[in-house]
Amino acid sequence: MKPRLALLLIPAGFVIWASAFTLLYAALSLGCAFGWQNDAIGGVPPLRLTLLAIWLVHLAALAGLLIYCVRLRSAANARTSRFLRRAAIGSAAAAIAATVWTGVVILVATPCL
Amino acid sequence: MDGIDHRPRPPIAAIRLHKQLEAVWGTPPGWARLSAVNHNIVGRRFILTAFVFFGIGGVLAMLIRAQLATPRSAFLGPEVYNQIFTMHGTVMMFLFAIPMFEGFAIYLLPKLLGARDMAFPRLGAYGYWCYLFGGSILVIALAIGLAPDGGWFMYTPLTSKTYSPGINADIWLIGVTFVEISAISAAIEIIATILKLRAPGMSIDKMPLLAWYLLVTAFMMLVGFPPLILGSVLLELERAFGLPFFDPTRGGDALLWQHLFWLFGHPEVYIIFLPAAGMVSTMLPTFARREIIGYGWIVVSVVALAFLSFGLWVHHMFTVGIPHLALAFFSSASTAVAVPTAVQIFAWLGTLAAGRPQLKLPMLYLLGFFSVFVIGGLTGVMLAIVPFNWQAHDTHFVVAHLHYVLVGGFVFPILAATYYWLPHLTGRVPRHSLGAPAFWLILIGFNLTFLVMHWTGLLGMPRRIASYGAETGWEWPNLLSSIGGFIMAIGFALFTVDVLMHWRHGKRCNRNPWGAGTLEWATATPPPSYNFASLPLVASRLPFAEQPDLGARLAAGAGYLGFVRDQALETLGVDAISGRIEQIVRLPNRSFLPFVSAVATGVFFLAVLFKLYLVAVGALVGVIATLLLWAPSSGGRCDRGPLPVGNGKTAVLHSEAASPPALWALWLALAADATAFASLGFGLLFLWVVAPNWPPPELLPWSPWGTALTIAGFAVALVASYLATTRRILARANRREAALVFAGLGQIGGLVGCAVIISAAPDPTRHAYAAVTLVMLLYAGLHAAVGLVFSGFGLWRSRAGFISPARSLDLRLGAIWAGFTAAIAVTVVLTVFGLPLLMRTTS
Repeated sequence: MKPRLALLLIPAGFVIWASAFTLLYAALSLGCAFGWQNDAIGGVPPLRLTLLAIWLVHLAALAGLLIYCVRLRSAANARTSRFLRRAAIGSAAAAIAATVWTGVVILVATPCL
Repeated sequence: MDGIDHRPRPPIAAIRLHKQLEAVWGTPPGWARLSAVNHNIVGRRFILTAFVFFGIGGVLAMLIRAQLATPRSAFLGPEVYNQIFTMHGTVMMFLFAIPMFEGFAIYLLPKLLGARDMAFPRLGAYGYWCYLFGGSILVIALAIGLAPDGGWFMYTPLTSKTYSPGINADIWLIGVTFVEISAISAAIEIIATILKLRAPGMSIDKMPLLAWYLLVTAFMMLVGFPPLILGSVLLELERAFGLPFFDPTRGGDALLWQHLFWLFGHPEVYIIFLPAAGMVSTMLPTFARREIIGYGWIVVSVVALAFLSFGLWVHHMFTVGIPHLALAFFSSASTAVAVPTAVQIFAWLGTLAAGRPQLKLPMLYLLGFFSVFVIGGLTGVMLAIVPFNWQAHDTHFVVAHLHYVLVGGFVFPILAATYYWLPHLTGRVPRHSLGAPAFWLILIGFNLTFLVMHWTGLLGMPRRIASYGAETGWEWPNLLSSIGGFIMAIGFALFTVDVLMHWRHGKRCNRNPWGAGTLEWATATPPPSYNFASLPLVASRLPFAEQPDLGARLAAGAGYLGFVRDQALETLGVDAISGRIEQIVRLPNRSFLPFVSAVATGVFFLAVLFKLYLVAVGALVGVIATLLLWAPSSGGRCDRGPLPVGNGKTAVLHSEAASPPALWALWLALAADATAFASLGFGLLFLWVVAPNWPPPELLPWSPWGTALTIAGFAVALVASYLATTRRILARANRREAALVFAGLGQIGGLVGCAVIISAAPDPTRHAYAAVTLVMLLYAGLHAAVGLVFSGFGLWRSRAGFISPARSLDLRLGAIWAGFTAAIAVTVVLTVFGLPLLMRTTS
């Protein structure tokens, strides 16, 4: 593991969370403004499908990040490298929890009320 | 081995070294003090000035409480009351809290990290003067009855020209923007210092926790302040030139201001809290007499908190009519932020439980922090829940909550920190005699004021009202709150007296009176201007605890750089991760230039305030000219190669290093710049989707010549700037100077291209679309103008002998700027011409 990369891995999980959050808010605003909730694809409004897609793609990316961090190997400076790896794993796991928590309402709430 | 020379040295050698270092690093008294750039002086100035502003804010709070103590009070009229509550919030947030943390950071960071100063001493000094001048503008305005009166959040349309026709609102916009320059400067300086100026061996996992907190906070400032700076500029443009960003009759939206304000405003709470939490994490283990529990988890939770805190700005806007699902996103984020906060609180409690705590005076204030802050956090979770928020919105319940968070989360830790680090500044140890009664008065007074205010709020009393009737049932809780407020004020007065008494009459102590393990206590107390006569090699998180004689050995010159070379101010730069020695950073010495630059900046802002735009342009030229005058004393005119740093090690000067602090500073400044630009993009998207009176009556016509010139100009500038840094061209002066001339010409081409597009744009006073389009094009043009300055500067540096293949920093900076400018220009062109296409498609 390159140490510089590992340092970037600490905030990486929450960067993905921030991306999910921003895109969900933006897509909701656009969808409500342009009537994406009025049609239906297989009984589900396109707006809800869009939001679900954004949410799930980000969750998948976070899962990938977590697996990547778990599989990382320590570099020469073992103690520093170990610290960075553990922090990156913790951060990615926390970001998954935060993304699930902030997005789970998509499943239940009416989008544009 | 710890890598430090352990051979005994004669005391006379240490005294000689001290004299040599002081001759180079010291600042003479008298008028020369205005030239001070040393972090000890600048940090103390920030702290002292912030305390003065805290006193002013406190007096304003007492006036508010006097007014609200009785129903139908005639003590203050509504006009004066509005100015006072606006200024109370403004002073406490912008002139006390942020600068106070900056002051502590600037004073403490180099010592905690084992360095001799901050990375950019002149920037710190410039930031201080900007803060002092900007804050003074606001306070003078208050004294002459022209203070802002629209609330510290300055909601439009109340603060638009129609409803605030005087210069009161302009004073807020100008004064606060002025102060924010100081905050952005501090953020850049803090990050560069933490990542590059640590002691050798201090790998990222051995950094003191306070450094982690300050690092994250500074990043938050970099992306938190630009939306507000942008919002302030847009509102001032609306007020001064009629560009309708917030006017719904012309395609604007008042809610855009709220978004831009709270995009800054909510993270601001954590920007204030996190440094204080860092101080808690530094002080608490000392008094618990054990290392902190959960170092890694605290780091992760601080990072989590920083991100999550940006996802809750809309919880200030739950009642403005946003779709429920969006409210749910923000409500979720608002509740989630409690989790990383709780992780830190449990780590602190666990440390106390596992240690052998001592109830010294700073610890008393830390216990006050725990009780008050936890209550504030719990009411925060209540307010994060949308239905409860709708009930309590804009009542005194919210006022009570925010004071529990801010006073609990910042003021109590700062009071603890003041007592904790006072011995460092004075060489004297504080006593319980006045400090303890002051604590109890503050704690009891605070709770009487604000615990009761929850009740007042639940009884339905709105915020920001100047008076209320006797039939409301609010008179008793208000009277109790006012009594509590005055008790708290007496406590603060006692605290001030105690600190002043301590300065003269405190009991003298040796270094490290608390038995701390961090490096700041390895300096003499009070510290010399250079902190350490030689720099330590760090092998653990608590180096001073493990080597109690470290201070004496460093003072004797046994560490790195235990000498003076070329009469230069030298400290060590390290690899950001491993802490391996990488470079010798030469810092600039005292200079009046930061003061002069800040005066020129002040003239610019005052000229804008009084609408003397010709003077403003002149002042802006003056600012750029004086900033460029900083340059000749930096860098070198010949290649030096590796130089000895002591203990058998060598390193190159920063001007010859691959990754000098200035490079980091530019990247950080660009991050702030990109955030401001992204906020502008958000504003355009928001207005298009949400604002009334869209689509606009007139769209930007396609401008092939303007577009071609813009793109070609910026492309030429980018390629030429980049080529100037390549080895083959860099090695020959005539080639690199030709490349720089081409880069300058390219920037001029881009500038002209933007002007051509603007000349065809619709009238920006008619619709927000045209106004935002104009600002976007001006944004690209402004970057081209700065790029032109970079090219000219590079040319001058090349001709003056500062550039060689080994010393190419100035040209690398120019190339990075040209790349960023090109990216901005492409985005602007795509946006201003792409949006009309989209609007035609969707309408």
